[in-house]
Amino acid sequence: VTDDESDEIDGLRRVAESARMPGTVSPESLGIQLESSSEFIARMRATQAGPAVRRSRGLRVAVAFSVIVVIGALAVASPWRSSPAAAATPPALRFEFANEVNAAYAPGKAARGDLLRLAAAARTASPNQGSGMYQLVRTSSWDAHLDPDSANSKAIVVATERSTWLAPDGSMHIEESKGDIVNASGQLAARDPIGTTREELSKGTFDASRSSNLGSNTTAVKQSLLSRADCLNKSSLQTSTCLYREVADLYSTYVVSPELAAYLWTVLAGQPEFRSLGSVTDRLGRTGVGISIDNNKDLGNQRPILIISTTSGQLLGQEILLTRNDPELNLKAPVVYSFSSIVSARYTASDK
Amino acid sequence: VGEDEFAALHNVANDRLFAYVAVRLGYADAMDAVSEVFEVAWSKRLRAPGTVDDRVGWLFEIAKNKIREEMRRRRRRPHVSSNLDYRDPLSDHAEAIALADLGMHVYRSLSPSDRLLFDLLFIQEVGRDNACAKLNITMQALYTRASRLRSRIAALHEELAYVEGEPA
Repeated sequence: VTDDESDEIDGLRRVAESARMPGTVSPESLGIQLESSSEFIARMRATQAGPAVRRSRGLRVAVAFSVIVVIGALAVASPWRSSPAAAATPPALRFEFANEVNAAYAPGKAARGDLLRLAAAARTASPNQGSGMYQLVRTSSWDAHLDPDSANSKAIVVATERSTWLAPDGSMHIEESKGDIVNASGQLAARDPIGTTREELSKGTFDASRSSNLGSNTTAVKQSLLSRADCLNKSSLQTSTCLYREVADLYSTYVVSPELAAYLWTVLAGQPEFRSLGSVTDRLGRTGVGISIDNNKDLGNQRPILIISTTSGQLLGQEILLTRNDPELNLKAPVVYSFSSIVSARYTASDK
Repeated sequence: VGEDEFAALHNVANDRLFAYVAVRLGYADAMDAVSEVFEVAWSKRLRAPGTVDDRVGWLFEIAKNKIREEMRRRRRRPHVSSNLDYRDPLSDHAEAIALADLGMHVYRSLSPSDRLLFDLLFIQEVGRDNACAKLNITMQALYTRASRLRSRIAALHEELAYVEGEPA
């Protein structure tokens, strides 16, 4: 190896730097301030005394509800184990028109009638949605993550409790606790200090008035939902998929008024792809109706099910069923792939 | 691994992890992902490998899983972009970002084997000997491949800069 040859790598570096290739560009030059080691250590120390505060660029949280990776649970009769990695996936809920075995593909029936009844229930309900300027949404879920310690694909299952306070200026305070699963509602056995975080998203991250400005009739609400999702002028099936995602997202962040809930279910009622799986008792013991969507490639190997309260007409949560095997997580269909329950959604005077 | 050792590891690996994650997830999401990688590592620091090199490799393994998880998330939510704030044209860093985007485009236009070589040398920074070992090639071959890669990058950059109207 000559000196000229050994200079090749230095020459390569110079060319890469000139081209501003990754690895040669400092985060600071892009306006990104990485956390320093001292800041990180201080933050970790703080977690031992209380919730961690994570610096965030923010937008990640906007899709929190629909991006829950996996929520696995054990058979309801089983005690919750302290080792989430050992957890088996749970049986699906038993719906009127679908059971634990066939819920991933049971056709159910056309959802239009049920959705219109749910819209009527929402319209006539008078839920106590609190008062104040902040929109507080609490969810309980089971998440499965890829095991960071494992060289091979393996899922670990962790319970998550999440509360978000959305302020009028579009900022958000988030508290999220993770821990071992103790029961089917996703309550935590113990809070892991590392897994407990408090996050602040800056003002303007969200449009705090979105849920109240979506529109004052069904057509306007549908248009607003599809416009935001960049789903205008799509096929009926794609439109239904977009609407499902937008509804789930909306509920993950905002307090949804009875009027808006009625509009949402009326919008969905106009889409023939939605199917009703009939009545069900959700994992928190609440009575609802399961509304699913026909399997399609936009949803990959998943079948989402919205569970909507028959009394309040509000969304109670969603479950996602695995319709085909997932080798990455070593899960065999049909199993519950994820679930999230909305524990409460109300206005509050306090920002945390 | 004690706090001081962890801080040293953080100093060594922070920028490298950022670049590693950024080429896979984009710059906008890399910051949060890197934070999460360190959080996982912190929670498992008592089980960290013994040498600094092995610890850095361990962090990259954690990052790989973090990236896979994020990619799974995106597959479920493909129409959501997290780059909205990053690409703000009024940002003070807009020009640097545009050039970095072009550099990212060059990187992504490389063949998988060229990207691997680039990763080892300039992102994971494993050193020349380790790069040879990981690629199972001689030092002579490493320099030959580096020379070819240099030419490819220069050509790609010129071509893509022309297409995008940026000064090469």
